[in-house]
Amino acid sequence: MAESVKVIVRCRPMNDREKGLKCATVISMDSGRGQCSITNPSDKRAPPKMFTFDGAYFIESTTDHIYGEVAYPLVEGVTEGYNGTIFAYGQTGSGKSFSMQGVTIPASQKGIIPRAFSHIFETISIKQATKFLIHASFLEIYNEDIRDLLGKDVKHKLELKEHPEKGVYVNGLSMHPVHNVTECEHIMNKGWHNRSTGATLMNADSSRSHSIFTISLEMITRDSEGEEHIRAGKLNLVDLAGSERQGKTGATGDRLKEATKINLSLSALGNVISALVDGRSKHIPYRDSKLTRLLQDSLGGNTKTMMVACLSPADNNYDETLSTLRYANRAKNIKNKPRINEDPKDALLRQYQEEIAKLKAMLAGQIPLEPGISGTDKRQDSPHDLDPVREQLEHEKQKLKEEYEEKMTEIKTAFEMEKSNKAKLQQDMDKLRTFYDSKVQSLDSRLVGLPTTAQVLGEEEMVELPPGDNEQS
Amino acid sequence: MAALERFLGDDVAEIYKNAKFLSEQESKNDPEDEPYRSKYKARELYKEISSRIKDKLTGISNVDSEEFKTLLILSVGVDQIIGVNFMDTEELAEGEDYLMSCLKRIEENKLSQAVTLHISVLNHLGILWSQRGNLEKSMEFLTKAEQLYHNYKENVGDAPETLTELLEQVEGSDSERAHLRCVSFENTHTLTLYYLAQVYGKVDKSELSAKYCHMTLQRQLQAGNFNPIDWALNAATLSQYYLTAEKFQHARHCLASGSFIFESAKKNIEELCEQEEELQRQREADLDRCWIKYGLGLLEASRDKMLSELQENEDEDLEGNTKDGKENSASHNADKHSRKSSINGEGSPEQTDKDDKTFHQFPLELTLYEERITDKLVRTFDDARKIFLFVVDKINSAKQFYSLDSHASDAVEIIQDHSRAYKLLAFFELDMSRQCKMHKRRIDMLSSLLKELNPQYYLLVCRQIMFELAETYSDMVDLKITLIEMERTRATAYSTAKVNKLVQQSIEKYQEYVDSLKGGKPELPAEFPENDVRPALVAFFCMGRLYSKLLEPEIEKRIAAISKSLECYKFVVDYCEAHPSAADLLVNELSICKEMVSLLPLKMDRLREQC
Repeated sequence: MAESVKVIVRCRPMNDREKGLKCATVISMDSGRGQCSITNPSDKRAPPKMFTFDGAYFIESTTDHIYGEVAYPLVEGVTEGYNGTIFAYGQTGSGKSFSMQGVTIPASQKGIIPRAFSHIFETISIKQATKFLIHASFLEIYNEDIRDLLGKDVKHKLELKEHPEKGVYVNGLSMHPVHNVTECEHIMNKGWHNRSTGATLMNADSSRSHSIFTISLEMITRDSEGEEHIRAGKLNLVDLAGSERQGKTGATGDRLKEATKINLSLSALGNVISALVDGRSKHIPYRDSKLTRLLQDSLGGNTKTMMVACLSPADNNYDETLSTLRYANRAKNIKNKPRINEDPKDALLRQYQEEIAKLKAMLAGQIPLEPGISGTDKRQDSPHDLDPVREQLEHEKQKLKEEYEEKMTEIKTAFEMEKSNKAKLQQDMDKLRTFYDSKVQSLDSRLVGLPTTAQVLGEEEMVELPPGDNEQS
Repeated sequence: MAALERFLGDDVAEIYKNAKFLSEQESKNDPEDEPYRSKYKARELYKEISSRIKDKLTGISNVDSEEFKTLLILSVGVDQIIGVNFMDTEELAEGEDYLMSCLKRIEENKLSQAVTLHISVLNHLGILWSQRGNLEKSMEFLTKAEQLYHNYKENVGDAPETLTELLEQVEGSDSERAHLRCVSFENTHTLTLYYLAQVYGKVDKSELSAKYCHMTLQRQLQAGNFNPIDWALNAATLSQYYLTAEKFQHARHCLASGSFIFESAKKNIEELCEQEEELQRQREADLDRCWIKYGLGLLEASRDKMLSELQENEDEDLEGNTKDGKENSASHNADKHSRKSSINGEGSPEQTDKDDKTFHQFPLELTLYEERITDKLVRTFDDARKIFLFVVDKINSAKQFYSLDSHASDAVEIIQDHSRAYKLLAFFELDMSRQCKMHKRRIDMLSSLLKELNPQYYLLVCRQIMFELAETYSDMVDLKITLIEMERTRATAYSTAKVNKLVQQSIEKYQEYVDSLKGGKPELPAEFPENDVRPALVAFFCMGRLYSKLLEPEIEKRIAAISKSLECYKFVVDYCEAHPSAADLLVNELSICKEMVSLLPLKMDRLREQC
């Protein structure tokens, strides 16, 4: 996963020449804290300049120790299918090749490169059910031209390409299969040799060029269902052009360029102008150097990256050493390049404040409870927030229903009451009627012998009332 | 015969030749362990010449004679060369001594005819102090050099003698030599401006630095000795500075000049070798990309201007509402219109006036290039659309070189610009369903791009795209909901489903981004990488919001969505508690998350009570 570059500094012991010149030591380190400070020999009263790194290794340190602490996890990652990059940086004679190539005696000072080789081949020899294909390539960048140090023609310029699936690659760069540490070392030496002869051929100074040695691992595993899975990891070993020349040649990657000096040649006008834009925003993508491009995922991508900056302790190297420390310090601060540019969230935040206010009001019972948090306010009465509206309606419906039912029961009870009243009435009426009937009958019977009133009055027959109906009216 | 040979003989002339060869040619072959071998050798030879001249000078009694003056200038000239030699070998103190003594002798003897030499000495002193990190002092010398040029031009005018013609035999007729003098004088001044541009840049005076870069380009153009492709690209790059300063008129002028120079120098493909052709095509695409950024910058500035106006109006409305309630809304709208026009009417010409005074246009006929796109902020969809179409045209052109298959990173950035163009255009589109369609376009192009990219090499870019996709889906959610609202009818099952689908898709993309931070492991890391802290927490924050946007009719589902929402807010709160530094990155979001974490459980309880 993406993490920034891990930078360590290592200071070599004073060499015989420096001892002979009776040089003073200007570097001091606090390894526990990763701190390194440098004293200005021409201004002893000035406070020493302090730098903090991911590791600070003083004169007595061993490469074995450094490898175990920093490089081991990085190379281990490569054998698991990740990419790893190790940069070496420092002026000529600062112990760069001592750290990278190293010596055979004592074994503790074997270099980072041979250790990485053994590490890779040892790891893969014990991995079962995995087939490994390992290739090495070696290229050089000089004055923005890329050349293959293992190719047929060292002078031939190669092109940088970038494929969405494969990433950045150098078109036509030769890949050489390697099967063991010896083959790896052999091919690396061949490249070194070509680098110096090539430099002579082209009248170029190889110390002004960067070189990248790459070991590519392809891992093929077969799973239990017999299906093949391919993973690929890469280890880049980068030798950066020495600091003593970068100001003059501009050879160093543009992201690490020197900060204070004026560029003398008008050919660098483009750099001056783009420096104006760089700090503000990334509007000029075409100015990246080849080195930056090639290592774009190392300088802030899906790669583990470490830089070893090598220092001399002697006072007569003060300027160069300070410049190396500054360079390393800048490398530490390299930020992952493509950052996420979010949309401004102001409008969103404002909406939220309103929502929260509403939610609080809701919970306090001031307004009816809503199910969803609506996007904005003033929608309470609009059909936008369907759920609240529906909710409200439901609520009302419920209320209405309850009300209805209540009324219904009221009416029902009233009705029932009426009904029972009515029944009693009926009974009474019936009784009354029977009573009357009997009375009437008895009367009738008593009347039988008498002429009807009508008859009496000469009118029509008497209208007979229907039983129990007209009584109430 | 050059003065050196004339006065001191051909052996001294020969020594000079040797010294120059050592210093300029042989020094390139110096071995790594003796990087300045040839420079040291050359220095000894120059020192010898210097003492020979000085011997000769002491022998001349008439200090007003032409011979004396010429020899004096020669002496100063050679000492300047020695001073520069010391600077080359990083012996700044000695270099300074030599250069300061040169300066003193020029001033004391009033060697006004040696103005080119005088300026050159000042230039080098400027460089020297910049190497010592004292930019104030550097600026002092360079400003003096600049002033000197102008004084000479004003008071004397003709081309002054050069040091070279005193030292070496210069071939050619009188008029040719006069021309050379002129060129040398002017070039020395160009360097002064160029160095000043750098010093101003380093002391963060960007505006001045840009001005001096512009003047340097101007003088290159006048002098005629420039590489047209470089010049065009430099002008286009300068336009990007003016763009960030929102000086669209200058930006367009520089870009148009770049395009003009490029087009007039463009060669037929048949005349070029493969590499040259490739470079020409690339530079053409680079110019296109600068134009793309210009168009996008203009749209963005237009949008921001309108947004800030809206904001002002809203604030005003708010004030009005508290006073008068709703009745006033009609008159407020009327206010808006009058205010807008007054801003447009007054603000810009004043500003342009001030800029015009310091901005010197390149003497090129640029109408053809400048009429293709406006340099004014736009307010309407139609005007925004014109910019959009121009940008899309440039995008298509740039893509011909920067294709995904051969220049993946660049092609990705161009596609991202394309998406941004749609996004900005959507801002000016009033019809919301058409806005939705524009966002849909963005989603289509970004989704298919994401499929193409191998996350092993393009992880960071993939993350950017995922995030933008999530934001775009979310924008569409808001639009769709507003559309439903505007119809003022009950949402149909279709539109509800559509909103829910978009909510899901947005959440998916945020989640995909968050998952990419796991780095192949099953769990998220305890701490996010520095640059991802804010985006990751914002992603959670947005997901929290999105879950609450789901339109769920059933209470139980609704409760489930709220609890997801709660989880997201809780994540943000917990993370910031564990990593207090993160809290500073999202102060506002965090306080909202905290409130939500306390409010949402209560709300869920209430809802549960109901079912």
